[in-house]
Amino acid sequence: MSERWSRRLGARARRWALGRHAPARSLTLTQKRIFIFPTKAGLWFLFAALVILLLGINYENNLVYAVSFVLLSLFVVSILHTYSNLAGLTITALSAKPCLVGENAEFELLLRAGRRRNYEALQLSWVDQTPVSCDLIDDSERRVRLYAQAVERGWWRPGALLIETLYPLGLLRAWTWLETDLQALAYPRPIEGGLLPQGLGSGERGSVASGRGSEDFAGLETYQQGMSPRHIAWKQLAAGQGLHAKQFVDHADEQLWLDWSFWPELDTEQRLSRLCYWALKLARQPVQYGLRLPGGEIPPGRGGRHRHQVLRALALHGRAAP
Amino acid sequence: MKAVYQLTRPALLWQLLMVVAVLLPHSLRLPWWLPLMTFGALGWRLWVYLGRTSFPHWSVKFMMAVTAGIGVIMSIGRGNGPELAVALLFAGFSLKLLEIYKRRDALVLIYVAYFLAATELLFGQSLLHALYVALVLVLITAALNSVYQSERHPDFWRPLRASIRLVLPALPLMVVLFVVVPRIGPIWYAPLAQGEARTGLSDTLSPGDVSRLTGSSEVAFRVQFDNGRPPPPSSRYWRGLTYDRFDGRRWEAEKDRSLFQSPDSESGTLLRYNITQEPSGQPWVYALDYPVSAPWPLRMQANQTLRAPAKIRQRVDFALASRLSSDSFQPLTAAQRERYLVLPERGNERARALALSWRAEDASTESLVARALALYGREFSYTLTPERLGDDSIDDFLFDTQEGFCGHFASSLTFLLRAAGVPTRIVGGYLGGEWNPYENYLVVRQFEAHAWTEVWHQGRGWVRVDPTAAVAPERIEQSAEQLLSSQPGFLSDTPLSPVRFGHISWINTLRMRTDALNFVWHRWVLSYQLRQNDLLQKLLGEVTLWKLALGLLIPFSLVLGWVALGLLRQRRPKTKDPVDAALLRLSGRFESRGLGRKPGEPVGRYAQRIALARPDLAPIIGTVARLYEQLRYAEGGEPRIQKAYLAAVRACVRQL
Repeated sequence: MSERWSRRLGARARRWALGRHAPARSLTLTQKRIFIFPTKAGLWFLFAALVILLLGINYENNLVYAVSFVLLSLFVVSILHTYSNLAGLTITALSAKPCLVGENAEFELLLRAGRRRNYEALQLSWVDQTPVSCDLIDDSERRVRLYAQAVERGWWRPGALLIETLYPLGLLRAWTWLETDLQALAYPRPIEGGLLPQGLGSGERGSVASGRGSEDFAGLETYQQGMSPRHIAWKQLAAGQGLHAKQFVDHADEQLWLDWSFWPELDTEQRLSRLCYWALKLARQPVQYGLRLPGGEIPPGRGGRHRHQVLRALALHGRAAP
Repeated sequence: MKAVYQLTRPALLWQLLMVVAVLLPHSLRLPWWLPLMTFGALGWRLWVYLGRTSFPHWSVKFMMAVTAGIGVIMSIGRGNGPELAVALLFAGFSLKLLEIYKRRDALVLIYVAYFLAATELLFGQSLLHALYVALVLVLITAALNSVYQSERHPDFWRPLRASIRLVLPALPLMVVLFVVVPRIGPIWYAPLAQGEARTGLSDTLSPGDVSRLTGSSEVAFRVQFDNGRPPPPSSRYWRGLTYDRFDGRRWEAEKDRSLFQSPDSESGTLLRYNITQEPSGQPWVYALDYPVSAPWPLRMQANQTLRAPAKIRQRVDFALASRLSSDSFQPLTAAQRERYLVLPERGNERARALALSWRAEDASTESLVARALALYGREFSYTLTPERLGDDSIDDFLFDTQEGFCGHFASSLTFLLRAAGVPTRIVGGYLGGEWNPYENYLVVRQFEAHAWTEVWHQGRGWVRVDPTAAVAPERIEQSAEQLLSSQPGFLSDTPLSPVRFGHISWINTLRMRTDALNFVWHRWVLSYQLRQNDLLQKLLGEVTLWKLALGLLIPFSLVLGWVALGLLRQRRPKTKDPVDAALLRLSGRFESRGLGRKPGEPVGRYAQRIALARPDLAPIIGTVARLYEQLRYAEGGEPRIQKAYLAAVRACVRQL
């Protein structure tokens, strides 16, 4: 019950804090954005100071009073230290990588120290996601990768970014909420099922094509300097047959089409999911594939860029451009 | 099996260091096995950290806790509240060491450490104690910081630096709080058992007693005079108690419940002073001859001595006033007269006979006193190591040994006068005191203990008669130390006492300064509550809540402003890596031309951008980028490449 309340309260506070500032690509933390409040450990610390004060009062011991006052003063001084562990920090949103719905998208942020100061033990997290800790010690900038789960296909934002710190004594927590303008593309969630009408999913292929590729194993050749170490034939090396590299070739593939009209019994999202599944499957096979959607078509092709184009078309089907 | 929260190595080391620092001063007071247990737990925790063993099973910990608890209660006993509480806390503290799984467990340990560090001050309040506890506070704060320091950059010294940076500005804030926060009395009564067997006068006096005190240079009390000047040496008689009853060998201080009735009119100048008495384990309070009133909570007894309500077990302060000479007095009641005349039925017959023969010749008090003092001056000698006296101690002293010190003279004179029918009493106290010019106060030490007599004169009241003065007048005029230093028993208890080396001037200065420092420490820190009102009134004028709040707020904001300034302007040393530093320099030069390096921009792409905008720089900036990438991502040949890289950067800047 109390947890639910505190969550709701937290969400309200967050909305209020965020409502005060517009999203930005890069911003510097100032006192307008930084909130600070004692932690539970901080309250216990004050309690300890109070108990020591009682000890001093009861034994009329001025030195024990002094110890209690040192603790109280430490608390006050650490307010400034905790605050300054966020103040002046500049956060820049760098990039977001696409992902499938249900997976974690990777976001890259850049933290830059203001006026060459140290920042220690910062915690960054998207709302309700696991935090990532980070420091700027003898280092004026640092890239941080954060992950957030995609829930829906299309362009999406990971929500507010929470930056918090307990440093140096854990007595207080300073935090800030930021809305970054980062957005990631979420491809539809692939759902297995169905067959391609031509029955070609199993991948009959044409004649072996010319050229060196990276898809299918074709044989061994003597390893030469400059070849990718990934292609080293470890098995043969272990068998004492010398250093060889595996040779791969690409096939000149058949052309396949993924068509919107293949599965008329499915609704839009399910259809996109199935198309996505097949697109991913075909991308791993030596075929060229194209996509036909009601809004247009992508001619058959291969490779990472093509794959991205296909998946992006699926992700954004029926969605307005951002 | 619970998941083990691994503290970082520095955090664990700091915890262990903190435990040792807190334990060290307490360890002598704790039962001997408790520090051993703590060290055992420390070792175990270290072993767990190194992966050689695991945390003990809960049943083992439970058994240890029960055993330790019972052990502590049995070895300390329930009477000593604070000692028992500290020992129990320590037992829990050491066992908690075996239970640090999470950050929260470490916090429990650290907070308890703060408390235990404070309890140390209940048992000792010297300047050294305070400094040690301050050091411990820095260490504990470092331990607390180490728990929160980044796991990615663990470092042993960083928490200490952070702690010092936190504690240093906290000290002035502490001083402000210390000065301003009002003190209130104890909430419940909690006695502290203190060390017993203090040196000092006791409530019985047998002639040899005082020589026991000449062996000690411990301080009995310190006195500050309101007019800043001490009375002349011959007036420095500090009365503590009177010995009224003689049993043939010893004089006893009888408890007198009746209070002193001050005479209606008093004359003579009033001397006001503040006496800071060391714990004596006795209730009497020393005052200059004669105190005029008893401040709360003291009582002035009928014999005009001051008595505290309980034995003095801690250093205490009293503001007193005395008159060095007074001609007014209250007449002696019949009961009092009886009290100051009584002698045992028999014994010391020769002394009685002598007294009666004197009385037969001239019964006036003056002549009796004069004859006795003349006797002492003629035939007696002063020594700290007199021969032992037999059963009739007064007779033996007066007619056989004829040597002794103040106790002997005072008791024999009292006996003679009482036998002759003159009310007389022995006064126990101190004579003398050493003036400390650095803080203007008088130190009275144990070896200045003294006994003298007071004789009742019809029409004049009690008159002080010091028979020792008749034998060794220098005892009154000079310091006891000068007189006694030739005596064999002097300072035998404290052979290394600096008082002994008083003739070496720098040692003497050092001793005086140290004592002055202690005195100031006591006056302004340990018993600050007595001076708080005066000080605040001096600082603020009339003390109001409003002014107190301001007095707290203004210094606070000043200190905090200073800290904030330091924090927000604080600069880290420049980037240590020369490669990055050169790149920064280069980017800085291009900044004004709108070609600064964007945050996070790869060096290669940055170089391309520059090459596009400034084709003339393309070759050299290309070289810079290539060398940079080689330095960063290739292996080997670094010093050479770095040199080339730095040269390229310089060339690029020059061409710009």
